[in-house]
Order: sequence, then structure tokens, then C-alpha cells
Amino acid sequence: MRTNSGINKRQISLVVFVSVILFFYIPLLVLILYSFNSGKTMVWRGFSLQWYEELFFHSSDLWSAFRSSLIVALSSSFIATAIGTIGGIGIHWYKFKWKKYLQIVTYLPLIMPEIIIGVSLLIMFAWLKWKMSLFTIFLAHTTFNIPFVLLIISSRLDEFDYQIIEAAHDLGAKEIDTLLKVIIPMSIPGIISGFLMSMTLSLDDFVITFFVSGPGSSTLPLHIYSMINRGVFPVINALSTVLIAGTVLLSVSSKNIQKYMFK
Amino acid sequence: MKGSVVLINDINKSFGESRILNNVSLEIKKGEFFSLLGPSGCGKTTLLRIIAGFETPDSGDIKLDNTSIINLQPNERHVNTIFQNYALFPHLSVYENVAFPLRLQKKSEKIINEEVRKYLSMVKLEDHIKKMPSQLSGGQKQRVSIARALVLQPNVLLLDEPLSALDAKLRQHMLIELDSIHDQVGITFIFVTHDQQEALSVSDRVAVMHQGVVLQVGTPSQIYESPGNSFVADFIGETNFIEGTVVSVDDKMGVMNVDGIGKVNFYLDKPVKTGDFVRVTVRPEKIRITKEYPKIEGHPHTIVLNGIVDELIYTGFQTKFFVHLDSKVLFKVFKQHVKYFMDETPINWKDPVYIWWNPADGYLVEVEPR
Repeated sequence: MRTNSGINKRQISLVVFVSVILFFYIPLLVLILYSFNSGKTMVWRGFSLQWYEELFFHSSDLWSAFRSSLIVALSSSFIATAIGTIGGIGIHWYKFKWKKYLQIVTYLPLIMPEIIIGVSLLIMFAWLKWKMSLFTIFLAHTTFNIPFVLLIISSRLDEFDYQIIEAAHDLGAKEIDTLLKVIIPMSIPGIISGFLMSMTLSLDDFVITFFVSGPGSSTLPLHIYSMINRGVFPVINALSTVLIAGTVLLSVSSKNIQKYMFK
Repeated sequence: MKGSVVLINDINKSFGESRILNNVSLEIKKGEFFSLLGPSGCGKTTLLRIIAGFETPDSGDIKLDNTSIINLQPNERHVNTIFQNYALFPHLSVYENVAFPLRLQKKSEKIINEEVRKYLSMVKLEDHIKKMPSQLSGGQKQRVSIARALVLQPNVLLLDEPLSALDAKLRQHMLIELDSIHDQVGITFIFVTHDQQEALSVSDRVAVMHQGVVLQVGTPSQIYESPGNSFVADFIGETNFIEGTVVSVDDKMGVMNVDGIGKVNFYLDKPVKTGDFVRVTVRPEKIRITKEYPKIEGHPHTIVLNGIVDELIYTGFQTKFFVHLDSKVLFKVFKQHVKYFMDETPINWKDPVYIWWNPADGYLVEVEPR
């Protein structure tokens, strides 16, 4: 395929590739650049680390929101991964009545607008007369994370033949042995991706969290939003830079972890 | 003597409306290499899965050495299975795959090590112990699954089309190896296949199945030379059928009248009366083909027919001739090595030829009384 038209195709794809990359990353680069601005507005006034100083030493509210976010993300991802994994295995490999409908119902939250989930959870908690707190946020996040984990686990299980389960039984494994020694170890890459996906979704979520949070239970996205309401605040640029660095580090290392574990 | 007698007693199984197995009974001997042979959908795999315990029959019983196993779970039966797609555990190394059943039995590390190495060397995989299944070829994967199934020293090994995912050369090779493994371990093998060559070449006995029914059980040569009915004759190898109405019968031979051909002799492999409708099978490789009328002194019963070569197919080791006897009857004649007549002149398309065979080489496969 190394003809003239092949070269043209390559040039076109290169142009598209470069423009996409620029479109994605220029805003981030601008943000990173302005986090080092010494001025408070979008006018460049020279290099300074003052916003980082502000971020790390004078923003206790922000850090407490960050901590809340982490607590909610870790706990809800953990529970959602556990439930989603067991559920995925059950739906995939066990036969029972109304299985098809259960599958549809579990995937429904994936396509439902977030605002509807948020409002419905708010109504439910109000009806139960529960006070909005980190716990209600945790419940909401667990709820919307389960379908994602389920989806990832079942697509992982799709790659395997049911004969593997039969082989395990045939070789003397009881049901619990099969689950612990075959199905779960086989699904580990899916379980890890499910967990990371849940973490990302949970750390990211604004809409649903907005409805189910109460006084003193702000997560990082909610806190950032409330700060922006009070005008553009360069501390957020600094925070965003830190988060970008963290995300890049995390995704690179998770690739390496997977490579190390499953090679 | 290792291995078990497997007694299959009156097994019935339906999935929904369709009847998969219909009163299937078989007795498989201790240490026998037994094949279940039939086209896809004949119920052979379902029968194997019932023996393994993956399916429950609607009625009937399976006995291993006179003990019923029908109510036991797969993990409680001294029966192990080789799966069509190997079913190796993808997250475990070759060594750990084979060690898996031993670990479940909480065997000591020393015993596990000895046993795993013993069976991996039996299947010639001692050099691949640390590899993961994804790094193995199809043939190697199948060897791992054989070692894994044998490591528990089952009484019966079930093989569910184990060679169907391999290419033709490798299949032949693995078949010979399976045979030698069978000789080494001495247990009962039940081998499911749709490939008649596989079944004939390694089995002690073969059961031919069709539409949930066992049509015939016998040694490979019984199945090939004396097929129980036309389906068996047709399914096993290639054959010609010649059919007509019996016009006369003496103590050893009969004569039938065949439409468009005339009178044909046959041996009375079954009792026949004048007026019966009979069908005789003649294997293509037992028919001879010549340009001249053959000299058949000393063989007064030889059947000689004339026809026109309709098609010829050269396959290397064999040439296949398709000879039209009249507008309806097409005969297959296979000849080893060459596509020439005995007098060395080539046979061509549209040549008039004589085909002839000894009636002892035919087999009376079906009789319908009139």
C-alpha cells in the first residue's frame, strides 16, 4: 500500500492527528501556564508560585473537600466493584428466570440522564427523611458506579468459554472453589479497570452529587464550582495542574501495573 | 487392570420439543478405546456430557463398575473430560493448570510436583512448564488439557472432539499420540467425533449414532465391511448402493433385478425371499474398471456392468471415477496410484468402460419384505 495515495492518506491522518491533539491539549497548556502567573486575571504578569503557596498552605476548605472526594470515591468504588463483579458473574454464568430483564434494568442507569438520577435520589432521601451527608453521596456514587463495573466485568467474561467453568467442576472444584480460584482470578484485569473507572467517575461527578450533598459535605467538584461562582480564582489553576499531573501519573502507572501483573 | 466398565442404560434426553437421545444403551468395556461417531446434532456430545455430569438425562442410568453415578456432581465422578476448545485456565501457567486438581485435593507440594512432571512428560511438554496458555500452540494446549485430565487418574477419560480445532497433519499426529497415551494409562477412553477416519483408526469399538439413536456398535472393520444399514454404510467412507427386487434365491446367493441395469448377484448376508426389495453396498475401491470386457474365468458370479466415464478426479494417491451405467445410476470407482487402465492406456472422460466386482465384496445392507 505504499503508493502515492498511501502517502497522501498518511499526510491527511497526520494533520487530523495533530489538530486533535492541539485541540485537546492547548486549553490544558494555557491552564498550566496561568497557574504560574503572578497576576489574578488572565493578563500575564510574570512567573510566580504564589497560587501554589495559596493552594498548599491557605486553602483548608479545598483540602477538606478533596479529602471528602477521596473518601467517597474509594469507598463507593470498592463497594460498587464488589457488587458489580459478583453481579456480572451471576448474570453472565448462571441461568435464572427473568435474566434478560434484569440485564436491561441494570444497564438502564448508563443511559439515563444524570439529572434524573440526581433528582430521584434526592426525592428518595427526602422521603426517607435522611439528612444529606457524605453517606448519601457515597450511596449515590455506589449506585451509579455499579452498572459501569458490571459492563466492564461482563465484557471481560465474554472472552471466556463456559467450558472453563465446566472444566473446573470436572477437575473436582466445588462452586466456591470455581468462583475463588478460577472466575475471580480470571476477571482481575476487568475488576481493576472497573475499580479505576469507578474512581474516575466518582471523583468527577458533579450533577448527581450536587443533589445529594448537604451542608459540610462538599466534594471537590462542588467546591471548585462554588469558588468559581465567586469569580475566577487562580488557585483553581494551580489545583488543576496538580490534578492533571496526578492523573497522568496514575494512568501511566496503572498501565505498568497491568503489564506487570498479566504479562 | 485400571479403567471402568461404563454401562449406559436406556438414556433419554430432550431439549424443549426436540428429542436429543432416544433410549440409548451401551456397554463400554474396561480399558476400551470406544468412539461415539455421528454427524453433528446426532446426540453424541450430549451423551458424553451426561456421562461427565454436565447434563441430567430425563430418564435412564449410568453405571461405573456397577455403581450408579447418575446423581453425582461432575466433581464427584471419577471421570474427566478433554474439551473441544481445551478449556485451559488462562490465568494459570502450564504447571499450575495441571496442578489445579491436585491442589484442590490438598496434596503435598512434593506429590504435586512429581505428578505434574510425570504427566507433562507423558504428553511431551516438560520444556514448557512455565509458559502461559496464551503462549502455546493449539496442539500444545490440547496436550496440557490431556495431562490435566489424567493427573487425577480417572477411571474413564471423555474426549469431546479433541482434535477438531487442529489442522489435518497435526490431527493425525495427535491421534497416534492419544492411542499411545491410552496404551500407557490403560483406562477407558470414550471419544466423541464426527470424523469417521479418526474413529476407525484408533478405536477398539465404535458406536454410530444418528438422530439420537445408536444405529450400530462394532469394531471398525465390522462397521466398515458390514454396515448395519444404509445410513451407516453411507456415513462411513464412500459407497455405492445398488438396489432392486429379488428374482431368485438359492442357499448362498440371490439375484436381483435392477432398473436399467439388469440382473445382479449378491451374497445372502441376511435372509431374503423372492420378491423382497434389497439394497447392496459396494465400496468404490473394491470395484475394478477396464476398457475391455474382463477375463473372469474361475469367478462365475462376478458382476460385470458397462457404462460411460462421467467425471474423473485425480487426488494423488487415488483417482476417482464416476461412471454412468444408465441415465439414473452413477457408480463411484476408486483406483490407487494411477489413472490408467491395466493395459496402460489412459481412461478419459466419456470413455465406454466395464466395471466389475466379486459379489463377496458387496454387502447386503437392507431387506424390505414385500
